[in-house]
Amino acid sequence: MTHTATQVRGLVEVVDEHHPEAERVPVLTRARSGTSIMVDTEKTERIRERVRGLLSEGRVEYFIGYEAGSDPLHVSPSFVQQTDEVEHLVWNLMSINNLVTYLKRYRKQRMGLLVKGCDSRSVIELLKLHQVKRENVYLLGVPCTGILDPKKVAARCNPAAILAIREDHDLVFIEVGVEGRTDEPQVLEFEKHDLLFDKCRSCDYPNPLVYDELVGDPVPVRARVGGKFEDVEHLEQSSIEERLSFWQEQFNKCIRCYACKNVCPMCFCAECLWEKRDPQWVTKYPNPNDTFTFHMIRAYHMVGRCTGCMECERVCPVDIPLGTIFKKIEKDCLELFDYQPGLELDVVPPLSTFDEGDQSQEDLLR
Amino acid sequence: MQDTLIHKGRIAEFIHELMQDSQVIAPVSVGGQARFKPIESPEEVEWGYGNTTVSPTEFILPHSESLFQFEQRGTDFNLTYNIDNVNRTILGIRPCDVSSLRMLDEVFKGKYEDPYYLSRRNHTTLIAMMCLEPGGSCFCSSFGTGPGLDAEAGADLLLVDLGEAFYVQVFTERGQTIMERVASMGTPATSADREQVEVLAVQAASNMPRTLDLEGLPEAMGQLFESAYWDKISRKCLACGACTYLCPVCYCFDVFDTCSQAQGERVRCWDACTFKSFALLSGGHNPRPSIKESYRQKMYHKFKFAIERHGYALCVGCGRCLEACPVDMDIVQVLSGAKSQVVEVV
Ligand code: SF4
Ligand code: SF4
Ligand code: SF4
Ligand code: SF4
Ligand code: SF4
Repeated sequence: MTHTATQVRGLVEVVDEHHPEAERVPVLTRARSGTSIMVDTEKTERIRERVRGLLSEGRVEYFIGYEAGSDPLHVSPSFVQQTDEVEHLVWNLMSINNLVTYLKRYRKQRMGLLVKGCDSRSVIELLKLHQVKRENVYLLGVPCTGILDPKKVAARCNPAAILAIREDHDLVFIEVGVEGRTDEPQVLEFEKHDLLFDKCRSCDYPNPLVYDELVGDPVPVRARVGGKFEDVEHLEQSSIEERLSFWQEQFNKCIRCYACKNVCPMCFCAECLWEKRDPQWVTKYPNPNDTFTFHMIRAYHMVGRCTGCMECERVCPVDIPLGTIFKKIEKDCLELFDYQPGLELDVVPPLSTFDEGDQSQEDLLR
Repeated sequence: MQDTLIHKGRIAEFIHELMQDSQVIAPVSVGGQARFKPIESPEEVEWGYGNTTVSPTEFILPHSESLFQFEQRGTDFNLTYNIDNVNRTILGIRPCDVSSLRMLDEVFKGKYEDPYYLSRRNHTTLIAMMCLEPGGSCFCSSFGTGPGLDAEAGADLLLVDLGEAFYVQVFTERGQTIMERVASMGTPATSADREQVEVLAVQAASNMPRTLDLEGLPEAMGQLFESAYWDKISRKCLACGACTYLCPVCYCFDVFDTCSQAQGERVRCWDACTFKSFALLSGGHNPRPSIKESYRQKMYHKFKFAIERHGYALCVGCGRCLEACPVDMDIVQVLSGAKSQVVEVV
């Protein structure tokens, strides 16, 4: 697998003296000058070419992909409607957002969407729950080699000083320096594995499970280090009092900004109990009981539905380990019903069916 | 007023002295994240924090507060007001957050005085901490609200980390009183110390990763209200409250009653213009029916209406809205983009 990184600079930028030989492709103007957004040229070119095709053939009204973000650590969702906007699209190792979440807003339109392996699982589950029509979505699948977690990067080098991030096979090179300072930028080298999102470190499905076409060859599954459910197992071993105090401390941080709920592709109620005004079931007042209930309601509603995209955990501004809740549900679902959401279109979700072989209530409560 | 050096070895003593007559609010680690909380001992303070995700201004304008309790007595009501007059000291508040309070003051003691806010504000001492290394999303130098701080900003004291010691600059009488009480803990600062502070301030400002040029912005926005630009920009927005709830200058609130039988309380809590139901009227009409209108409102309130009304934007460049946004909505980019739209049209 080759990864050629190309230098993409904002239109306002000066000549890049550190990489004079690199090809320069203008993208949208970025706020932070002096930084570069590296892209996977092969995939980016392929995506642009295909999206151009889809738009000009009238296959889709919008295509949702990624564009360069505010700094080298981020990309941002990009809505492309016209062929001349296609050049904004990029693919690189920061392309984390699960774009499937936008489908609930465009149920009746023909949408094109870029999906990684994990994202494609959300599409499958939405199809099963009749939230989208397969013929309305055109899926460009990206075989994914893992996405970097900005928090892990920030723990190792000052994010304000990052000028560029580039990868070469299993290594990641981060160029640091500060604009306006004369010191030569330094290049730090990391094992890619150490910087990946946890979900990428234990990813079983890097290749999309549903797609119309792929923009690259399928990739092998990454060798897993440690168990997927380690954090859940750790908590399961502690006493109920310890667990309660753990979650109380975490939920007390919650500001009820609803980023976790709004980013979730599987939270698709047209009118959400938590934001409903007439009647108003709950207020915005983040008292501990309501906040606890908020998280538990989301957890219960996600049984057999959550595909573990971990977007809720990623976006929580106060770092509540929400993913642990949803991994617990995934684990229970697997143990009790041998069911994993988002894999096969023709397997019915456990809560939508009844089987005499299901464990009895007494078993569940044991 | 004489500036002082307090050796880091004596900072615990300094905090102890502050704790004598006030509740000290300082950055501590809560569930793995730095957040301002009341401390019980100086050892809890996390000095190595950048700007905290949640601003310490939550101790002046809290997420929610009970305004009063009510209880029915026959045909009458008994009201008990909850004016918070606890003495507090916020230790380590960043310059941008100090500046945000000045903007909130305009709102809460302008035409109408808000006793709840004002009581908390007047009972709070601000000991600021100068920023030496701006975070990746900071752009305070565009507003002059950081990374250093001047006397007008409203802090009582300013600390500057000089490695071995904190340089303490006195801005107000209240600050002066504190320094008199702790006089034995410090030594007078020299002109060399002062010079070092100035060098650090210049360096921090030159390391500011972003800038926003406000020149001509409200005028450009004036021409752009109906533009498809807002439609395009806002498409990725998820209508959550992360950017507004974390913004130290956002002050919109909701008021509601909680009752059980003949008693209850009236609560005020943060609200966010980015939520879908924010502008929903009784009867079901929503004048801001989609994310385009709500996100646009956020931008116009901060960068057009506020500039016209108060002479400044409702933003201190703390970068929290970008830092917290699930979709990397970059306010600097959005506004620079808005300006360039108008330039393109002309
Ligand atoms: S994103 Fe985090 S802070 Fe916001 S509502 Fe969800 S859990 Fe609470
Ligand atoms: S609950 Fe969290 S992990 Fe599960 S689908 Fe929603 S965002 Fe993804
Ligand atoms: S944080 Fe981002 S997604 Fe959420 S409302 Fe603000 S701009 Fe929209
Ligand atoms: S708008 Fe954003 S940058 Fe400005 S003060 Fe609010 S959170 Fe900080
Ligand atoms: S915005 Fe300025 S004052 Fe605020 S934390 Fe960043 S550098 Fe400091």
